[in-house]
Amino acid sequence: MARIVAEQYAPVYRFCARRIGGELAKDAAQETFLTAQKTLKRFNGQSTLLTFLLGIANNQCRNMARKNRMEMSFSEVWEGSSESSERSVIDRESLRQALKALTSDHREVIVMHELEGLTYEEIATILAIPAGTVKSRLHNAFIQLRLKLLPAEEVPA
Amino acid sequence: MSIRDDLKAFVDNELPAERAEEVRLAIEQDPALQQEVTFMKLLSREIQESAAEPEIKGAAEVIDVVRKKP
Repeated sequence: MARIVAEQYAPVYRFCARRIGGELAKDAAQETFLTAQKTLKRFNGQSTLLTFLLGIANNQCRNMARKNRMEMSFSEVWEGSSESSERSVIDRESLRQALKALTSDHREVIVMHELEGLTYEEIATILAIPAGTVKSRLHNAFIQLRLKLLPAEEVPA
Repeated sequence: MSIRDDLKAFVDNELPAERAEEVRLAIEQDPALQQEVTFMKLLSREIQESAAEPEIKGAAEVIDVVRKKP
């Protein structure tokens, strides 16, 4: 298990930090690996090991959020990030506001797909929802962002 | 299902091959769809580049903890 922690700690920690903040992320990551140590026998190789770990981490984060009376809203993921660079075509502050205006379900799939690099199927496994729901959430989230970020005349009906 | 409904999944390479080909052909023939695809890719890049990256803490400690557990 120590080898697995060494290899997978960073993505598990980042996953937790984006959900419940850096203060609680270490505890959630630790609980994730301790739970995995007990349940690794149940891992059947149908998903990747990381997906298996993130499924546990997701439950740990939900429990910790509940205990600490906080919401996993993902609204702070883009707080304190860098300002627009020369490469930026979209104003960073407008993007932050547009992301903030999404529902937490929509931000969640954006974080998981765009930042954590998970496939639709992996996200579906971790959240225990159908892959079609992941697809429609991402589609709708991008439509909402487009509506907020582009002038009305550039948005197709 | 309209082509537009599948654009994001197309960009993400998440469509079955046959549907992906249908969407690809539709995009090829429609400048408005091409613009949407370009914007989606741009938006993905901006979302990634503008997110704050959490600083990793506590790995060594957690390795110690799991080593001590049977």
